[in-house]
Amino acid sequence: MNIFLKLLAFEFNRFKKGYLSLIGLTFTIQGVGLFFQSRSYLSKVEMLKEEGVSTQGILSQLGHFDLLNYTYSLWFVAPIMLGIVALLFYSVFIWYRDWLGKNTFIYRLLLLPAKRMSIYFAKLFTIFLSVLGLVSSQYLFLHVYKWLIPLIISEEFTQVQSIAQVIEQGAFMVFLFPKTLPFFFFAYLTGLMVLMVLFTLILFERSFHLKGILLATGYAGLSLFIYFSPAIYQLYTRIIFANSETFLWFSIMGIVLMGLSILVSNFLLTKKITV
Amino acid sequence: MKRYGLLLLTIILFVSAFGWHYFSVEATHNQKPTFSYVTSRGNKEYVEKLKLVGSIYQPDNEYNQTNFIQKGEETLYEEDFPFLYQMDTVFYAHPSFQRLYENYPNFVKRKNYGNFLIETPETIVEASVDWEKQQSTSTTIQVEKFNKESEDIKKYTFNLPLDNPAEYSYLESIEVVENKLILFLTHVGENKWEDGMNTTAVELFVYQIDLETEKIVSAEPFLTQFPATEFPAETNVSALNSINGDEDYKQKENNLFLINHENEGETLTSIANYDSKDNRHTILDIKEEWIDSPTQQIYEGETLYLIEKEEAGFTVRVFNIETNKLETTLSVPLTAALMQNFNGEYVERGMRAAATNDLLYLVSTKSIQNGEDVTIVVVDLYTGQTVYEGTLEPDNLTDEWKPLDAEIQLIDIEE
Repeated sequence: MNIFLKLLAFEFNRFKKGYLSLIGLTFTIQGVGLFFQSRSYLSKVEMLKEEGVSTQGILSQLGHFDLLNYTYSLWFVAPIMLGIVALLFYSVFIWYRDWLGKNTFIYRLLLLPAKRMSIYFAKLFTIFLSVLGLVSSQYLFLHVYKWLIPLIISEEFTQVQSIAQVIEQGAFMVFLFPKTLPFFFFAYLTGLMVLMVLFTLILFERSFHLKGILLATGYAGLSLFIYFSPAIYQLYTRIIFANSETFLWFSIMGIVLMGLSILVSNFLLTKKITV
Repeated sequence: MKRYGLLLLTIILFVSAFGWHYFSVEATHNQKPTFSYVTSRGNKEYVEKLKLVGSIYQPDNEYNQTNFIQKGEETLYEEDFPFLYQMDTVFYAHPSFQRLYENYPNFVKRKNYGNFLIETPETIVEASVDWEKQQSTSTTIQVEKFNKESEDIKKYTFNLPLDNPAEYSYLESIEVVENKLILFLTHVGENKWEDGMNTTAVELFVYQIDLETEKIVSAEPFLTQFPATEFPAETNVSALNSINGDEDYKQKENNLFLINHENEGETLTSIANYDSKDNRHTILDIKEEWIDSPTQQIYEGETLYLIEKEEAGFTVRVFNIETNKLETTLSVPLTAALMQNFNGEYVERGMRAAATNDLLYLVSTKSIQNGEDVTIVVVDLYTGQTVYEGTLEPDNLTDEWKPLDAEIQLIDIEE
């Protein structure tokens, strides 16, 4: 456990620059975007006012400037997309950097007097915690933007919205913050499962190289089949499960895949990857 | 310790942000709405639950098109659409199906989603066309009746005779009145013309089956499509809401069905009545324009109210089902501003109506969905005069509590 924590902290600190840059970039791009969008909105308001259009007329033409609408602008969405792409890339890079770097660092890691799965879990939770950290910071940024908007836009041209409303209706928000706590666990554990499958695919390739790519493809297909088997069953039989049943089946399949990925990864790391 | 700094900071950030968010979501979720109104004497009265007859359609809820029909439903508010629904609507069961599933798993479990289910106070009846046994002279229907109390399941197979040869049959709607099962079926056949062209012919039939004697009591054509077209016409049959709802369920003599029949872009709308006392079907003598959108239809006993929304008020046609004649037409003038509250994309999304003791209650539902005050107008059915015009004020009505299925609770505005 101690070694796992040390490895986790080590891996996390290795990603420190990338992680903090992503948080910083998100806030900067979204903040700058908010500034530009609001300036552009205000200049339109000024123009219409000069033309003698009433407040009501301006609102009917331009609508309100509010946080919910802002979440649909590219300024807001782009950094989120960037974060997703960066973390997906790093999920692969986190393994290959140890093999393909100047010094084959993986050998030093594999020779540590600890279970090799500690390396696997350290890398896994580095990515997972980075995702949670980025989403959490986005939540705080939403509060900052909510506080900023009335300072830039006068009261008559904006409308007060709760963060819960923005999360429920805003772009991408429902994927980052599932509506209820049980579905938060369901969604994020599904994400963790996908990451585990991805790590297993990488370990297949690292273990068997070209042949490993074929094996990894097969494993990916098998995983998809296992996970979506309740859905395939429903489509095939045209029998619909009750929601609780759907939830249960997908959870069971997720747990099965997690267990299978851990077993296969353990086997590959301890038996097939040699120093 | 320094090496764990960023890790700890991330965990603290995550726990506080998500904790904050879900704590506030839970707190909102537990706030139930209350409605209040001001009586004619100026006192504020609270309504525990606002009940509205029928479903308030949500534009983005594709499961409104589910075949499931329900009665005796007490669920007042939309259930939360869970994450699975947000992610993928295909594998999400409608709340009404979900409720049946939870209450009667022995019967509802493994039910095919394409089949019709109808709930009565004592039973759940399911009917489906057996495609494999379809013949040109008959259609086979499989029926299952589930007794809620004893949990017995009775299975029936009925071969329904066809007047004209048909290729296949669709079940449009089912209803259960006392022991009678009423089936609306569309039969699709082919007409061969002299020039060699094949076109599709459609007939809408209503069958009445006595589930006790297991006999087909009647088989009557309701609509025959002519001229035949290349594509089958679309028919939609829905049971109209009777005002007294389930209390009168067993004694109900008149059972009204709204039939929409679309053919080559034209919609034929008619209202059919099944008289359970005389085992008689009638298509009511109602003019197309009376039931064209935007109208709403409700009925009580022998009276059918056809409510048409105008720009500045409502036109209410009072129709006698027994005599099959229009009794009177009332004009209810209301200001255009007030009428705005009743404007929905479709009339059924914008308002609900109920009538009792010669009073007609018109309630705006659009405003409930927007979280605004609910407009309520009460009209004297003798004079057409508005006797009460006020609002129901919703408190604690949050996004979590948008009413979907509800009934009207008639409020004593006179105290």
